[in-house]
This record gives sequence, C-alpha cells and structure tokens, in this order.
Amino acid sequence: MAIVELNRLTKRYGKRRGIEELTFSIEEGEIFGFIGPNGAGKSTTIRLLLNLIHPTAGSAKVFGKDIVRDSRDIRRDTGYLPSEVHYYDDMKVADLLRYSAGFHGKLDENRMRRLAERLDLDLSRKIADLSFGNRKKVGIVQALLHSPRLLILDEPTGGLDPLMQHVFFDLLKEEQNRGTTIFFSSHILSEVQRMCGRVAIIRDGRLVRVDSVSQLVNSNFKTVVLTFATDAKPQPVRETDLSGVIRQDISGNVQTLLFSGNVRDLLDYARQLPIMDIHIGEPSLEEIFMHEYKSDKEGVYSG
Amino acid sequence: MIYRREWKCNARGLIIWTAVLCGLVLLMMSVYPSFAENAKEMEDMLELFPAPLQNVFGMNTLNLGTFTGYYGVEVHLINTLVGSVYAALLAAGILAKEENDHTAEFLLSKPVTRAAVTGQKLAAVLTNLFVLNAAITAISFACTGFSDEAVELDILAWYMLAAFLLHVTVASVSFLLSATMRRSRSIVSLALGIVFLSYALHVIAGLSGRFDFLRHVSVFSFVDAAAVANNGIAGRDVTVMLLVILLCCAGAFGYYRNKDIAG
Repeated sequence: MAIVELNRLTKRYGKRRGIEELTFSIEEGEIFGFIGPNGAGKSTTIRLLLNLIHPTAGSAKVFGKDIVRDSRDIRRDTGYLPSEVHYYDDMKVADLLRYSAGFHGKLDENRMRRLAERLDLDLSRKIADLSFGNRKKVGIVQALLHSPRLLILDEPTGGLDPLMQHVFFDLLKEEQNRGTTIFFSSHILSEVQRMCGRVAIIRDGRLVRVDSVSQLVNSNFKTVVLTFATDAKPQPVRETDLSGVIRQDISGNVQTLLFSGNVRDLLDYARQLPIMDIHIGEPSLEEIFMHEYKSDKEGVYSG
Repeated sequence: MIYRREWKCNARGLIIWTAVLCGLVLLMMSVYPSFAENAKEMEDMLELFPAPLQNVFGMNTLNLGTFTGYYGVEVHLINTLVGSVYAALLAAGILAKEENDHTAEFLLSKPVTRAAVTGQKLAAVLTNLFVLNAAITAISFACTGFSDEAVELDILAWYMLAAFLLHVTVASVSFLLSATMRRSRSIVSLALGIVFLSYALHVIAGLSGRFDFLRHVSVFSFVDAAAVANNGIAGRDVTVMLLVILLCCAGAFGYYRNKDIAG
C-alpha cells in the first residue's frame, strides 16, 4: 500500500519557484530518499505534506488521506524532523518532549529516556542553552517519540557529528524493521545511498527521476580509473577513439572516466595506452547525480 | 494543551500588569478621602484648567467631590489606557510568536487543527483579560470603603464593564493582526499605534467642538467616563464594539485556517 502519494502536486509562490507537478509514491516500510540541491523544492514538498502550506494545484495523500482535508489525522501518525529545529527557549528538553507527546496522547516515559540515552541527550537542560547539534537531537527524539507510522526527515544529519549520525542511522534501521516508512530528504548523496531503497531526484521544483538506488548505481555506468606510466601524459579521449565517455577528468597521470559504452571497446582502447593500472568500478550516486544534473542543464540551455 | 501552555507563559506578565494596575487604583483612591474633605477648594483650583482640557478629562461633567466622579476623572483613564496597552501587547504576540520564533513548524506538525490553535490562544487572551478586570473590579469596589457617603455602585459597575469591553475590543483587533501578519515586532508596534491613535482622536474630539465627530471613531470616546457616568454605554457604541470583536475574531480564525506558514 502506498503511504505517500503525490499527484501533480504543485506549489507556486508568485514569482518565487515552488514545486511543479510532482508525482510519485512511497510504499509502506521503505526508506525513500528525496535528493536535490538546496532550493530545489524538497522542504516545500514536505511542508505541503504536513499542510503547513497549501497546494496551488494537484493533490497528495498520506495513509490514503487527503493532505489538506484530513491533515490532523495524518499528523497523528507522522513524526517530523525539520531541517532547522526551533523550540521554546523557556522549556527544558523534557518539558518540550512532554508537550509534544501530549498532542499524541500518552507519553511513553521509558521510550523518551531510552532515546535520549542512545543519543546522549540531557533531558534536564534548557532548550535555550543547547548547541545546534543537541537541538537536532531533541528534534530526533521528538519525531520518534510517539512511534509514528511515517517519519519525515528534512536534512536530518546536519549538525550531528559522525558518531551521532551512526547512532541515528541505527535508530532509523530499527524503526524501519518495526514497519515504519521513512521519507528521507537530503542533499548528501552518500547518506541517501547508504540508507535508502529508492530515491526521487528533484531539481528546480521538478521531478528528474524516481529509481531504486541500485538501479541508479548499476545502470550501465562505470567509473574507469586509468593510471598512466610516470613518464606518460594522459590525453583527453576523443569520441572517434572511444564512444560512450560521459565525463572525463585528468589529474596528474591519473585519468578518470564516467563510461557507459561497450566494455570491450574500452579494453581495446586502453590496450594501446601506456597505462600501468586500470580500475573499473561502479560509480557513486554522487557521480551519477552530477552527470544527471549537468546534462539536464545543458539540455535546458540548448533547448 | 496550548491553552495551558499560554496560561503558564503569560502568567508572569498578568501578575505584573495586574499588580501595577491595582496598585495604581489603590494609590489614586487612597487620596480620595483627603480630596473629598477639601472638595470645594479642589474644584475651584481645577476650575483654573482651560475648559477644553476639562472637557477631555470629563471634569466639567463629573463631580470630583463624589466617589464615582473622582474615579471617573482620576482612575478610569488609567484602567482604560494602561489596560488597553496590556491587551494589545498580549494579543498581538500570542499567535504570531510561533511563526516569528519558527516554533510554528513544530506546533502545527502536531495533530491539532488550526482552529484549535487559534481558539485556545484566543481563550487564553480572554481569560487573562478577565482576570485582570476581575482584579481591578474587586479592588475598585473595595476602595468604596474610602468614601463616607453612599457610592453610586451602578456607575462604578458601568466603568468596569466599559473598561472590559474596551480591552476585549483592543485585544481582538490585535489578535487579528497576530493571525494575519508574521513579524511580532511590527505587529506589536501596529497594535500599540492603534491604541494611542485612538486615544489621541478621543482627546482631539474633547478639545474642540469642531472635531466632535471623532467621538464616533475612537473607542476611547465610547467608554469615556463622563458619558458612561451619565447614561451608561450608548447602545450604538456597544454594538459597534461587539461587532468589531466578532468580525476580528472570525477574521482571525478564517485567515489562520488557510495561512501558509513561513519556513
């Protein structure tokens, strides 16, 4: 069953860009990545799902319920971690968490303490005295506390040190094992690649593509690293020598190619070069994304 | 939830404003006995004020030698003006602060409807104003002990009702601003501006007959002590105030329901 379903969802803010006709859906139990550069419309999409803002056109459903009409029902089962966490400065951490839990019904004191302990968060501190990273932790506990069916995370790792990120990812995996669906928005591709099954790529308010991470990574793209002999100088690959080179980069005597052509042609070509080593591997999401982003942009300019 | 939170947040302000206002009432009224003793001399002295000024403060209509007359000239102004400032400050901030401090992102992602948020905050404003006015009323009626003669309690009750109505009117206008605008500081300035402008219009109306029409514009004229002491609050003025209250509150609910919360 689809937990989140967007249908040509659109938000325009006068001249400022919002999002334009987004359509995709998230299945129950998956960790769904939502990636794009800053200002692409990720937060706008999320804030529409929570009805903090109202759609200009199109519609969306969460748990099969309309995001505008049944917003309160949706929010009852949703945990939200905003990219920038702001709480009431006069409260202590525990006060804030109790206040938050009060809206959802009963507070699970044990769960609150356990989560705080895992994240190394002091419940008795005042919100006003917390660092950015510690505020983020409050946000994480606040989002997880009522064991929601859907977690919406907007750039969740900002401000967390690597150790805490690790704990946080473990928590998310545990939530997923409980059957929680996670909508994971980020501009950091490596964490999306690590956590998510499927991703939607958004740029300038429009959906670029939705695919599984493995599909994106495996889709015929190879990264080829050619290490030349010390006295040789790598030359740019010309289309007539070898077709299928999408991107190339030379640094010292190392040449890196993003390659989508025939591997046998590649080997034939490489055989003639004064190379000492060749490495063919799968590109990271980062590299594909850069390519996707670039080619789209070129398309826009030429069209 | 939200009501309780607002009640707690605003408790300190309420206590301070109530203490200050009640203290002022007590202070002014404690002077009344010695004033009443020398009423004739005092009245003669006050006669020296220019007539327009006497008109503004209602001294030409109200008899300073009586409890309600003295209260109308010396205390009612404090109640209405200072109380309005409190009402404006309280109501102007109460909704907008969530957006201003970016806590709306938290609050409105919880399972509450916008109507519940608006309603509970409005209820908190009204409760605070009610408590303030109840305290002023209690202390004012207690102050009748300063008077040797019988006090026209109905007039005192009219003063109280007038002040409360004014406070609620000012609060609902400020509340509407709080629901529609985003930046707390500009809302507070605007709300206070409305209060002082309204008071200024009332003063101008009293200073010269030429500007008498301004009496129909300023809410402070609606609750003017001299008028209220003579024949209560005019039915038309009550209607206008109730209508303003109703429209502003309805407007606040309606607007906030569909408001796009700034990120």
